Amino acid sequence: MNTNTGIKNDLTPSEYSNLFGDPFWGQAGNSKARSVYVQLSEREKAVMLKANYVKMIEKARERNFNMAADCLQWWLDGTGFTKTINFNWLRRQREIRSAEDANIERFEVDLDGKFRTFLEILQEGKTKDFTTYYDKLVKAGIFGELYYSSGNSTLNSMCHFKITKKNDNYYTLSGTITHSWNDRYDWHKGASAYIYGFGFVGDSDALLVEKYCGAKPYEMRNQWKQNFETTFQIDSSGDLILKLK
Amino acid sequence: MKKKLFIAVAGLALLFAGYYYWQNRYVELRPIIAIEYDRQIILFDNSYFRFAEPNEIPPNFYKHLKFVLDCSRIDYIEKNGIIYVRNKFFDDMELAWNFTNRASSAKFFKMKKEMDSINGDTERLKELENIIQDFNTKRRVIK
Repeated sequence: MNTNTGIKNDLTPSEYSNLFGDPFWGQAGNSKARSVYVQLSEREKAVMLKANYVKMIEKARERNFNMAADCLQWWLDGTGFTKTINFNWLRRQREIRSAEDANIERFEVDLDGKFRTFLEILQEGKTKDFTTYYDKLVKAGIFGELYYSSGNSTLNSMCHFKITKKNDNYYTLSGTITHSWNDRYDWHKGASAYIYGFGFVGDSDALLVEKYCGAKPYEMRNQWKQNFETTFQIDSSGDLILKLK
Repeated sequence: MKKKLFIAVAGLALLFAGYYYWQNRYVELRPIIAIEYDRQIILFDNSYFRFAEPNEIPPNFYKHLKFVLDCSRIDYIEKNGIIYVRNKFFDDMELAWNFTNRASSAKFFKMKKEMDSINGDTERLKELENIIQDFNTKRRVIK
């Protein structure tokens, strides 16, 4: 179990419980084990903590949280290369779908007024390009896999529309909205997360593993497109009646 | 009875006037930053965002922001290079964060330049080019 240097890097589950306790069941860690841990050097702690993250990967796979496990492994591998996250998986996450809907709704209601400013100067019978974008902060819920894979992330939705003014109030729209999801897989001093079976794990643990064990932050991203073709109007009270969904 | 009614109506009117004043007074538009995930239980969407500290404001932010606001229908005034918006603008911190993002990267301006060139609008081309140049210079300095 111990290596030649005396550093523990292959802890059994009971040893984890001894050291860190099991907050899920309200069990505190063994104070004696904890006091030994506290006396270790940063490097020794990092090696132990890395083993803890390996265990998390194993547990995540047992729960079928394979994406969360892959992301954590990618970070531990320390290449720093951008990871493209499968967009089918992304769109299966309710938080992503809800962010996508929220951004489409922003185009529909013209949240920043940019679209109406554009329409005001569009001449009858003319077609012009309209492009804009919105960012939506994707807030991952603690019960979903997205929470363990990414935490908070950003969904940028950029539209490329061709707008034709038919007559005073009617317009046609055709084009795409490109949704680009991205997040940086990194850790922040002072933050912590509740990991099922491991309790509240501090980001400082991960930062120590980065410092001594070669783990490295990286970017995660992917994008997908939606096509739209519709007509819309501005009613007599000047409201935009546009439905994209 | 009439007196009571008058007091109630006057009180309500005062309350609405106060609320109207509070929502419509001009306040400085400081950049909005998304709070790094600290895994706390957060009840209000606006709690995910905070105002940037003075040292976190990107260079030329207000110059760029003015252009971004001109493209929208946000009511603002400019005094000594600082932009002020109505307080109700911050009811939706995520929208304010969107404006910060747009003013802090070249993406929005490049997109606008491309759209204008396709549409043959050259009115603000020079201004756009200057802003894009600002970002290119900043990137060179950082490198």
